[in-house]
Amino acid sequence: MPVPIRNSIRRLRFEHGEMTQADLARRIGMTRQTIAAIEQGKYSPSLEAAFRIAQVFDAPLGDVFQWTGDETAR
Amino acid sequence: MAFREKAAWASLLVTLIVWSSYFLTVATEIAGGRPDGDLVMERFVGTVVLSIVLSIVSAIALALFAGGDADAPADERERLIGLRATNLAYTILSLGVLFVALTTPFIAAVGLDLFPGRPEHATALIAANGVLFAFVLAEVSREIGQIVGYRRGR
Repeated sequence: MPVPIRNSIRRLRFEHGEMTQADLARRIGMTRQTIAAIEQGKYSPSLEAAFRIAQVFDAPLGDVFQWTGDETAR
Repeated sequence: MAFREKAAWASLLVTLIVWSSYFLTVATEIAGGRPDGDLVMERFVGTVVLSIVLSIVSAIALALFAGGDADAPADERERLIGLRATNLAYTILSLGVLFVALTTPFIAAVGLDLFPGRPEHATALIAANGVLFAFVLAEVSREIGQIVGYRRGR
């Protein structure tokens, strides 16, 4: 079952000079596989990790992660 | 494939190869009516040593090919996968030990049937190996749980 959170990490990486998953992972202290799992919607990061990702992109949390639970429920 | 997933695969293979050989040998001996407690203990110690040696060798080999990944601490997703796998293993271990405890009368009857001369010796041997089997089964389920977690992504 997919997690009810959509994210814009792939787009944000692209807009930040094609940052690789490995680069992002290194900057927030995670593995590349975990970034891939978050991007694919397989894993919901903790609130702290979500803030760290948003901080890397200098973007508000809501621009990086969007709640889709209501859409899923419909 | 993540470093820890490779480590889980290596650990699973080592556990399956080493311990399946041990249990097959012991089960064959018990079924054949010729178990020797001292010999089983020697086998057990040898199997533990072999398991440790193979685990160290496989960990070193994986670390050599993993580069910096081997030193990196587990992140939150990996810790979650590990915790879920450990929960599964704990359940399997609890059920296994409970099974051995509940089947003790049956084990005692088998001991008496196979070794009328020293039934208590045989009963202890079978029960101890039953608990050991539960431990190994729990470890196998923990490794499989980790592999499934990494394959699913969470």
